[in-house]
Amino acid sequence: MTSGVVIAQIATGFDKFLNALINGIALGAVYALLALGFVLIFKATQVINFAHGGLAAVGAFLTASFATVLNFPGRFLPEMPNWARWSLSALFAVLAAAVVGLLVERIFIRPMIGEPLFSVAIITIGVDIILRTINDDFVGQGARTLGDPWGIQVIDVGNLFINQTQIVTVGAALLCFGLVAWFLRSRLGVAMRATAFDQEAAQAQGINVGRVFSISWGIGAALAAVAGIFSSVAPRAAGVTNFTAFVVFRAFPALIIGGLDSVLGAVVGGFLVGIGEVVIGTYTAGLSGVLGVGFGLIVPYLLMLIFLFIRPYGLFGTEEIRRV
Amino acid sequence: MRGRPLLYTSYEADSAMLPTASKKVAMGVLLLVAFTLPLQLIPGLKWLGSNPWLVVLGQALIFAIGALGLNILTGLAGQVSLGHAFFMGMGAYTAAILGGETGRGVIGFGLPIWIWLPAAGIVAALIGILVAPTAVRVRGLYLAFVTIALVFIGDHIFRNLRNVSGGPGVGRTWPALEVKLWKEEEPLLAVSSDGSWFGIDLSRQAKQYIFLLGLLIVFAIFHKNIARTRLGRAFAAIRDRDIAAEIMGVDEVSYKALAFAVSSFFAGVSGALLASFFGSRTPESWDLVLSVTFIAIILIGGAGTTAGAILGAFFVVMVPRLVENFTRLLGELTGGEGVFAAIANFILKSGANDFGLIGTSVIGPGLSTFQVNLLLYGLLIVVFLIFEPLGLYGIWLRVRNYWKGWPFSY
Amino acid sequence: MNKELLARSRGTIILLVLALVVVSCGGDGGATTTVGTTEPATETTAAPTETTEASTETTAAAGGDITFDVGVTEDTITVGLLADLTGPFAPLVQDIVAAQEVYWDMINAADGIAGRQVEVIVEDTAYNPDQHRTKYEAIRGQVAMLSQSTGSPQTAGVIDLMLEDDIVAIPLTWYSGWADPTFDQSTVLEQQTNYCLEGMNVVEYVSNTFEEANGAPPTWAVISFPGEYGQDGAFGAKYAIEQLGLELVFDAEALVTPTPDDPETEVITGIVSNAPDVVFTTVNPTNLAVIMGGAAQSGFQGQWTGNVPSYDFRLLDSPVAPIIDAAYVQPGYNVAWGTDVPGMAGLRDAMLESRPDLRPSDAFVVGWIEAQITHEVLQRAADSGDMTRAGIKAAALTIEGFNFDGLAPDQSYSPPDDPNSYVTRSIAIFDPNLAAYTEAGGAAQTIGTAPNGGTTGSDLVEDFFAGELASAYDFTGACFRP
Repeated sequence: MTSGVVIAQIATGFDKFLNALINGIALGAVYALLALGFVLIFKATQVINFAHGGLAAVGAFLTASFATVLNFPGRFLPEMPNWARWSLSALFAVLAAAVVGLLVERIFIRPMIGEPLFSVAIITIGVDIILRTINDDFVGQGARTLGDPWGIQVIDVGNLFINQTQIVTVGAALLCFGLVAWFLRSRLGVAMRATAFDQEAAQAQGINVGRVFSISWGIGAALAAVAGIFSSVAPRAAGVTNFTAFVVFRAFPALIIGGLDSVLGAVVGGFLVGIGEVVIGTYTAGLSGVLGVGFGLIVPYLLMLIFLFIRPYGLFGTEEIRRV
Repeated sequence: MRGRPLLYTSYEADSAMLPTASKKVAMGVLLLVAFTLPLQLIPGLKWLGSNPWLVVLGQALIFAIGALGLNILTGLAGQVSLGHAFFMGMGAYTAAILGGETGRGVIGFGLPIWIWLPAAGIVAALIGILVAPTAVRVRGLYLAFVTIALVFIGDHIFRNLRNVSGGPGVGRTWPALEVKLWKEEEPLLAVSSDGSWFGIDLSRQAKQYIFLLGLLIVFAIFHKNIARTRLGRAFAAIRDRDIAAEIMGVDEVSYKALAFAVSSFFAGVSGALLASFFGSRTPESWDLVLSVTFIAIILIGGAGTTAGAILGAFFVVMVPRLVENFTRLLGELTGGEGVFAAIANFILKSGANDFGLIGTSVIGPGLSTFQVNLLLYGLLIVVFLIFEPLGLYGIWLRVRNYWKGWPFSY
Repeated sequence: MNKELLARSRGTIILLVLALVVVSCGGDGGATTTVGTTEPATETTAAPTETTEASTETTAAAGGDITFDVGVTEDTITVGLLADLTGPFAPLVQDIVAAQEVYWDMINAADGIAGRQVEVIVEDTAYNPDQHRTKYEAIRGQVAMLSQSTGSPQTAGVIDLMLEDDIVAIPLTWYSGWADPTFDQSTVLEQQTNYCLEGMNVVEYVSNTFEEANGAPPTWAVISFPGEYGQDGAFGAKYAIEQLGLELVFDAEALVTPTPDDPETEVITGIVSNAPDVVFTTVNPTNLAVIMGGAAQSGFQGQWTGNVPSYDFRLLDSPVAPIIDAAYVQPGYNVAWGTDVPGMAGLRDAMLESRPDLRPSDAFVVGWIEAQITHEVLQRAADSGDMTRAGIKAAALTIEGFNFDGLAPDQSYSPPDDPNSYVTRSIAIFDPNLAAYTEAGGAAQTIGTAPNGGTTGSDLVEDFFAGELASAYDFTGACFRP
C-alpha cells in the first residue's frame, strides 16, 4: 500500500535544527499555557479538568467573533493600529472565557465538593462535551479565521524563518507566566497556595475557600483561552475548528512530565514536550516507512511513558505519601 | 426459612447468582421476553422488535460486553482506564487478520469465527497483562493518563499498519458473524442472512440479535462469577485499600495483571464483534471518544454491578436513536394545530428568526440532532454523577425498595 | 446540597427516564432522519391538491403504466443522499445538499417527475467509511436511487451492498474506478472527469504555463491522502510528470493523513527541503491550509495546484489567502459560481428565490448538476415505464451526451463496457482572485444582497479543455486500485 517514498534528506545542518527549535518553542509555549492552567485548577481544587480543551476552543471562537464578525471593541477605536485592536479583542475574549470557567465551576464542580476525585474528573468530561457541542455549533464546519493581523508573515533572519505569530505566541505566554507568578505572590495567590496545601487549615485561617476555587477556575480558563487562541493561528492552523479543543490531548504529557501539581513543572514540561515533538518529528520525517506517518505526534506520549517509569510523579511533582 | 428474602443461612446462598426464587422467576421472564423480542409478540414492545431497532439493540449488546469488561477493571478493581478503545482495537484487528478476506490492500486468512473471536479476546488479554505492571508503578489519576497514552500510541500503530487496517480514512472490512466449521461456502449456522431457525423465519437483524444476546449472557455469567467469588473480593480489596489488601495476602501485581487481562479479554471480543457487526471500521475509530463512552456507560449504569453495566450500555446506545425519533415526531407535528404542535414549533427551529433549539434545514441556525444527542450525552454524565452516583442501578434499587415496603415507605 | 433537594431531583430523574420510555413507544422505530425541504409544513398541506391534478395529467401522458418497486410509489419518488454534513468537506457538502434541495423544490412545484413528488432523505456520513456503510444500511430499503454518495473510499466500501440492491448512485467523488465497469459494474454513475485524468491535465497545463513564464520546465512534488481519492489523483499527476520527462523531487503519495488537527510535519519538511517548483495536492482544504502555511513559514515560495476537492473558496478567508491568490492554480470539473454560461441563470434565479440568505458558493453548481443528472435518470426510467431499481439502472446507462448548458462538459454513460470511448476528459482552469472576492464583501456576502448573486473569487482562465496526455490516455479501467 505504501508507495515508494523517496524523501531526500537534504541536511541543512544547524539551520534546520534552529528552525525546528523555534517552531518547538512556539508550540511549547502553547502547551505550557495549557498545562499551567490545568495545574492551577488541580492545585487549588484537586480537580482533573478534562474540560480544559473545551475552554480553549471557547476562547479561540470568542476571539474569532470579537475580532472579525463583531469587530469589538475595535469598532469604537478606528484610529488604533490593527495589532492593538486585535489584541484588545483577544483580551476581551480571554476575559469572557474566564467567566465561562467561573460558571462551570459554580454550576458543575461546586456541588461535587467532597465526592471522589475520579467522579469529579469524569464530570469534567461531561462538561467538555457540553462546551464543545455548543461551541462547535457556533464555529460551524470548516475553519473560522481569527483575523489576526500577522497571518503568515515571516521574519527572515539569515536562513532562519520566524513566523510573526510565533513571536507573539511566545510573548503572550511569557506575559501570562509573569502575571501568574505575580498573582501567586499576591494576597489572593498566597490564599490559593494555602488552600492547595490544606483546605481545612486554610478555612480556619479565614480564607474563603469557595472564592479561591472560583478564582483558580477563572485563571485556568483564561490561560486555556490564550492557548486556544495561539493554537488556532498560522502556521499550525487555518483558524478555530471543531478540533481545536483536542490540542489539550497533546499537552497532557507536559503535565505528567512536569508533575500534576507543580507550576514550574507545567511550564518546563510544556516547552520540553513542544520542542521534543517538533525536533524529533522533523528529524524522523524521512523515516515514515519505519516509524510511521505522524510519529512526531506520539513523541510526547512516548516521552511521558519514559518519564513515568523514571519519576512516577513527574519532574517537580510531590510524591504521594500513602498511609494504611 | 423459605419466603424470607433477606435471610441467608449459608455463605453459598448469600453469594449465589440469583439468591431468591422471585429473582429466578424475574430473570426467566426477562430472558424469555428478550429472546422472543424479534417475533414481536408483546403488544407494547413490537416496535423494539422491528429490524431497525434490532440493529440498535445489537450494538447495545456488543457495548454491554465491552462495558462488563471495563466494569471489572474500573468498577471492581478500581483501576481507572481510558484505554478501553485500544484493547477493543487490538481485538478487532486480530479478528480482521484471522477472519477477514485478503483484498483492497489488506490481508486476512478467512478463518472461521470459533478461531477469530476467542483469539481477539486472548490477544487483547495478553497485551493487557503487558500493560498491567504500569498500573502497579503508576497509581490513580496518573494511571488514567497512561491509558490515554495507550489510545494514542494504538491509534498511531493502527493507522500505519496499512495492510492490516486499510489506512487512515479508508478502513477495511471484517468477517461477517457466521458460524462455520472451516472455510466452507454454506455456514453451519447462518447468522448474517435472512432465513429460518428452528422453523421460524427470521431476518438477518433478528438472527444477529439473538446470537449476540446469547454471547452477552455467557459473558454476563462470567462477569457475575468473577464478581461474587474470591477473585472479585480480591479486586474489591485492592480497589478499597491496596496496601491493606496486600497485607491480607492479596498479591497486588498479579491481581492487577489479572484484572487487566480479563477486562481486555472482554474488550477484545467486544471490539471484534463491533467491527464484524458493522462490517467495516477505520483505524481512527478506536479513539478516546470510544473509551469515554465506556466510562460513561458504567457510570450511568452503576459502577461495579453486572446489571448496571448492561443497563448503561442499552441506555447510552438507545438514547440517541430515541432523540432522533423524537425530533422527527416533532417535525411531523409542526404542521398541525393544538398544544403538541405549539410545543413542536417551540423546540424546532425552521427559520433564522424563529426561536428553537433543533434546526431542520441542512445549513442554517439551530443544533442538529447529532449535536442535541451529544449535548444530552454530556448532560447525562453530569446529571448522573451529581445526583445519582449509583447510576441506573441505583434508581432501580430505590424503585424496588419503595415497592418492597409499600404502602409503608420508610 | 441538602437532602431534600437531592431526593426531589432524584425523583425528577426517574420521571425523565420514564418520559423517555413513553416517548420511545411513540416513535415508529424508523432508522432515518428525513431532512425536510425549507418549508416542510406548507409543502405537505399544499401537496394533495397539486398532485391530484398532476397525476391525472401524467397518467394520460405515460399511459399510467409505470412499474416500480423500492422507493417509488404512485405519487412519490424517494431519493437518498449520503452526505458528509460534518467532517473535513462539510462546508462544501452542505452547500451541495442545499442546492439539491432547492432543485427538487423547483421540480416538485412543477409537478415532479411523472406526476410523482421527489422526496429527499439526507443522511450524515461524517466522511467516515463506517458511518457511510451504517447509513447506507439504514436507507437501503427506502430509496429508489442515491443522488449523492460522498467520498471515494466511502463509496467503494458500499459497492457490494449497492450491487446487492441493484441500485445506482451519483457519486460526490471523482475516482476513476466509477467509469471502470469491472470495478463497480456501472452502479456508480460518475460525474464529469476523474482525479486521474484531471491530474494529467493539471500537470500538463501548469508545466506548460510555467515553462512559458520561466523558460524552464518545473520540478514537482506530489502529496496526497491514502486511498481511492488521494492515490488516484497522485497516479494521474505522476503519470503526467513521467510522460513529460519532468523531475518529481518529492513524492508524498498517501503520506498526508486526513486528520484535521495533524500538523503534517513530514510533508512540510519534505516540501521545504526538496523545494519543488510546483506542489500537486490531493488533500482537503483544511490540510491544504495547514501545509501551505507551514511550508511558507519555512521559506517555501513555489506554486501550488491540485485536484478539485483540495480547494475551497473559503480558503480566501483564511491566513493563507495571499498564497492562494498568488500561487494557486485552481482546476474545475464544472464552472464556478457566477461564471457567464447559459445554465448559470437558472441556478442563480432558483437560489435567489429559495435561499437568498446563503453565501454564494461554487458547490451549488455541483449540487445542481448532480440533481440534474438524477432528474434525467429518473425521467428516462419513467418514460420507459419501468421505475424499478433495475429499470432505473438500465435507463441511466442509455444516457449519451447529456448537456448541462455550459455548467459542465456533456455527460455519457454509454456504452457502459467501453469507458475509453465516453469518459469525460476535460477540465477548466480558474485563478483565485482575492481582490475581487474581498471587494464583493468576502465572507459577509449573501446571494440576496451581493450584486449579481456575489462571487467566490474564481476567475475562469481556461474553458473546458483536454490536454494531449489525457486525450491520448487509453482509459480501460481504474488508474489506482488498492
